[in-house]
Amino acid sequence: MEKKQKKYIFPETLAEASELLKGENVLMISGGTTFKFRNLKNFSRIVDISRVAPDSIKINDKEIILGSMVRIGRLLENKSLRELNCGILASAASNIASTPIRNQITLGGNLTMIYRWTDLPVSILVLAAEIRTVNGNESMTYTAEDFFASNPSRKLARGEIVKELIIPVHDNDYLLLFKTFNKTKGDFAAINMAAGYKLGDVFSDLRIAISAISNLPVRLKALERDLEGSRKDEKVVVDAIAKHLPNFKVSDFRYNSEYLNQVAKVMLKRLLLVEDREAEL
Amino acid sequence: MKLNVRINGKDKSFRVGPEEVLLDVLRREGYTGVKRGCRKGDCGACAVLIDNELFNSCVLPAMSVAGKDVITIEGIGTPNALHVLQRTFLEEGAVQCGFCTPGMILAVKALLDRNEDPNETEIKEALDGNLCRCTGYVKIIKAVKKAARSMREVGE
Amino acid sequence: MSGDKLKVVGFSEMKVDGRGLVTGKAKYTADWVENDMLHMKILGSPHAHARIKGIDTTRAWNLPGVVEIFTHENVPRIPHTTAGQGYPEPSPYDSFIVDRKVRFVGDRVAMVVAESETIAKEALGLIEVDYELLPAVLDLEEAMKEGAPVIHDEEEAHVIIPVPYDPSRNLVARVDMEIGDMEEGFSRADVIVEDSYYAHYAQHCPVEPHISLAIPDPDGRILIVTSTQVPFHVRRITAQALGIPVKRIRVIKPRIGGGFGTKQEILLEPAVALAALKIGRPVICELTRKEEFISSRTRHPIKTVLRTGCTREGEITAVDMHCLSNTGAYGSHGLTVVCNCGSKVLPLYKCDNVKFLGEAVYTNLPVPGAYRGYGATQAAFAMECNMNEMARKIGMDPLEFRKKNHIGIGDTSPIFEALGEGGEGVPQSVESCGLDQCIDRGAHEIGWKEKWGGNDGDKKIKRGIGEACLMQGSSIPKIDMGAASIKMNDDGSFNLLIGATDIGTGSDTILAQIAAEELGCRTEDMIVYSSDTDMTPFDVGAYASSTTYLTGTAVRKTAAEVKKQIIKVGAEMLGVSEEEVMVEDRAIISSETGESVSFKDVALRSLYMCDQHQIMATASHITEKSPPPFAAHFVEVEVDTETGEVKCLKYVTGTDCGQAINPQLAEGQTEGALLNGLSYALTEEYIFNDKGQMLNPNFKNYRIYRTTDLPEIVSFLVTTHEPTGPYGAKSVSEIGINGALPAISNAIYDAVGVRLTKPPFTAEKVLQALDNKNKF
Repeated sequence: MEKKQKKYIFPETLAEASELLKGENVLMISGGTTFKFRNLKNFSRIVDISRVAPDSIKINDKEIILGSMVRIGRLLENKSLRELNCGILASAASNIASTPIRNQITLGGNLTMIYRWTDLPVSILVLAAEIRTVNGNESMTYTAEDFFASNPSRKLARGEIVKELIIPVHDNDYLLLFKTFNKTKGDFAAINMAAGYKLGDVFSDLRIAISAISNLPVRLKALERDLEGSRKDEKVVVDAIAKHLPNFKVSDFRYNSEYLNQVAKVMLKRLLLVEDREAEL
Repeated sequence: MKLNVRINGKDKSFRVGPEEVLLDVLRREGYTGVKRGCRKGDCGACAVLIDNELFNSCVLPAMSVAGKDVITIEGIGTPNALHVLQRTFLEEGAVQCGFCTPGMILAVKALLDRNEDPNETEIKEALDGNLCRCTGYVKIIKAVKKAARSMREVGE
Repeated sequence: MSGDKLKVVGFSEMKVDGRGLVTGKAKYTADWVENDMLHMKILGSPHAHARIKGIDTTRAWNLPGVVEIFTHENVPRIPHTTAGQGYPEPSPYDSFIVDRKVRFVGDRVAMVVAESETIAKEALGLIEVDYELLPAVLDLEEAMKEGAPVIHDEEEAHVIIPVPYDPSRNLVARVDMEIGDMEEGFSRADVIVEDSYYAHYAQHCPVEPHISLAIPDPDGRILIVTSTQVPFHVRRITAQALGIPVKRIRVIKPRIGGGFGTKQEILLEPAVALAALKIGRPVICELTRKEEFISSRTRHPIKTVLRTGCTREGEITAVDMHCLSNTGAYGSHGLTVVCNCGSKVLPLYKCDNVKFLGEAVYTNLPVPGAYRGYGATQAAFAMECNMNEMARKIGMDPLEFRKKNHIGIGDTSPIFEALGEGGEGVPQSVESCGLDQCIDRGAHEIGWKEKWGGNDGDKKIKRGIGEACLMQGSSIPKIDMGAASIKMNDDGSFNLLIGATDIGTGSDTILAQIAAEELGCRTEDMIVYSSDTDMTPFDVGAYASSTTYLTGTAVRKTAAEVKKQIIKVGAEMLGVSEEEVMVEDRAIISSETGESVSFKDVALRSLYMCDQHQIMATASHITEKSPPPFAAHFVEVEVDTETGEVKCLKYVTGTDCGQAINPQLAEGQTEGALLNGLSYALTEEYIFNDKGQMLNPNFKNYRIYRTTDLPEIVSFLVTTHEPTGPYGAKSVSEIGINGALPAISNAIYDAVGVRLTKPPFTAEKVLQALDNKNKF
């Protein structure tokens, strides 16, 4: 078999990028963090979309629109993002890798690849965000839940490119919290967790999401339903967690899975029983 | 393929393979201050500035920097004309083996260019991608604080 | 001498090689560009224990760009040790450049040399190896059992010094010692503490991996440029492994990107030299980070069983220490590390009845070697935990307990004589000790009085304070030698030529400071050239906390001799006798008249004008003693009782290294060492599967500390004067890594009342310990 001359291509429009991606043996690059780890022998064309996909951060009263090329590092630096929605995106982003890698990873890449820094997806689930993709003239919108229901990189059609993330701006009385469990900051988290609920004595509009290296990020809907309307009481919360979390199993060679289950319960309890936002942040 | 790029303020044109990472190209072209520590984006020894932001060149597709501004340690100062960061690192004992130093200094430069008076937490966060096994980071952080002070005073 | 006011020594002068380092101009091995250079990659074994029945390299040879392939079939089979130690090496000759048997996952199977690294790597994948799998032994106690698989069944494996070595039982080394009467000691004890402690695998993680370059020259000699701590041992052992004379090899050490012990090993040099000699072109080999973890060197995992007794009044009556060391698949540093478990730990506390047994055994696991701390790290963990426990049991403050028992000025310990590094030691008494000051100031910094033993009630997150006291040595007495040459130039500057090996520690700088102090000039007058086996005098290299104390004295002696020669010329020029002058600030001054001549005047006269000769001297030094530096470490931790997470809030280290030649560099040594120790105690860990394969050979899953992991750190030096050291100096480089294991274990105990003995102290283990405690 004759070796084709490998090419590195910068498309000029997203539509052109979609077209190119429909070809054979094409590798798409956004930030390029995984470029080094691919067997490039299998690809004849490398399509770099970093200059055509949007990298803007747009914020209005109702929503935050993040371009898929927004680098993770910018989520941390942007002052508004540090404040809006309890700063949950910034706090999740701060745990990812390290400064130079956060400057390289793109939002679109991170969400699509579900690479091992799974910190953002849980936050996006509890934020009830939407993901918009384009494919030529077509545009698709996924709820975060649909997007993460199966591995996104396999779900997307040929030529389909994540364009932006749309996040509602939640009211000030809606508490949003993120927690991670790892050995050191920047380590691949063993467990990531996020929760959102209204301030007050009872759980209202409760959303809980959890993920791990071996697990796609999911909403814990049964637990949410059980707790919705209940008092924020330690016993109520602990009992509900005990009832629902036995099923949560993580397979991570660095940890004992029963231990992680135990930790997940503690993390969740702490997420749900935080009333004083200041104390937590 | 041809890579046109600005390195340390000079326009350059290199022949590169589409599968190459920036680190390999830079070292081949003589920018050997860019160090190879882990080849996996984990240690920061190969860090360079691209349009004033810190990147690990060992995991960066070389072609992705086409048309951009790249700064390596060679563009910061020379032995006869040390940059204030370099001088301060030496004065404060922030250098032992020196292998992490080029990346570390570029990380500090990226930080101070956008925040002239960082607090300790901000310094630690900005340097979290640069591993150093010699110093325990104590004197590095001290040097960053001192350099920030003197850069503010001179208004550099 | 001690009354003299120091002018250069004791000041934090800038590193003499600093400008090159901060500008990226300094040349490390990888920056040494050669035309026509070839690249070597090494094929590692996927099996922990197997015999190679056949290797088919046909497909690899067919790959364009492959230049040479080495396997056991075409490489001389000469047993040697990879341990970069002095001759005769105390480590067994159990290694070959490449062998027909593999003994751990990652062990060498073949080496490919190609036009590029990419081609060499691709060729590795095309080599077909037929293995006969052998049962592997991955546990050190299993390895000692009768009938265990024999890892070194080849007849060549042997030792060259008279020490116990029995590869048929996987026994690499055995050393024992007993003083006093153990039975009587324990019978007098009111309290006896016994526990087992398991120091674990760890890697040094220098940011620069191992890298070696061999360049053949037309005269049949070979130049090896290599990232090493031991250039002279590299020369000798490479010659031995290749079966060629030492004179055919020149070794140059350029700048080094960190060592910490792992580069006290002759790993790549024989391979690249072999290839370069055969092919006639330069050959370079650089390990990847994965190879660095699995196939370079690690810390020896050691199980220490420690039984100690004391009276109610706090007198230590008996210490019985048994160290069982896992030396992995090869015995590099096996004997000496386990010896140091005893010799660098037991003398710290006065006790009449002491027993030590050290054993080292082979397993089919990665190969440990030298690692900063060198046995002291592993055994001090046990010792300092037991000290804490004993003090608690008799109701005495652990600091008071240490102060009552630690060795001090004028004291000797029979251990010094009974146990050395590889055999018997050297008798010595302590002539400098600032441990009490380290303890007192450290206790103040951590808030010992207010915080230790405190109770956090039913808080879920509890705080605790822990402590450790430490000693190490300064060089290996009567064995290690360092030497220096100093030569005067026209302008009154000097070439300082030393074999000593600056691996980032700053030894080039502090040796220049010592020379300048002695000569009466400034550091900048010294042109330092180090570690070139053709050009500089011999030195054992950078290990055993020796350079400052050992080579520093050699430099001082050399400088004193050069000074004599300068005085002779200067006095002649001044027309006075040599007794009537003094030397100060680059000049010889007549004590009588105040008239002076400069060093430059002396140089010009001696080189060009009158009785022309080269002012120059060489001196060498071996030490009679190995004076211990001392340190006290303190740590404050927070323990989450629901998840088991341990967070280090503050770390305090006080170190007595005698007179610091360059305080800033000395502090840097203690800070770097303590953070490595802390990272080792809390997160660093080799995770193996049941086949002996390491699952986390990268910085993503083997976590070493970053800036964001730092606690508050307070480090200080306590100045003492060691009369046998240059300007009162002792060593400083290793001691600081030994404190974190016991200090953290003690702090966790103080916080939540459980004793952790299996580091790293991960959240999982702490929670397990808390659960166990709550069950009873």
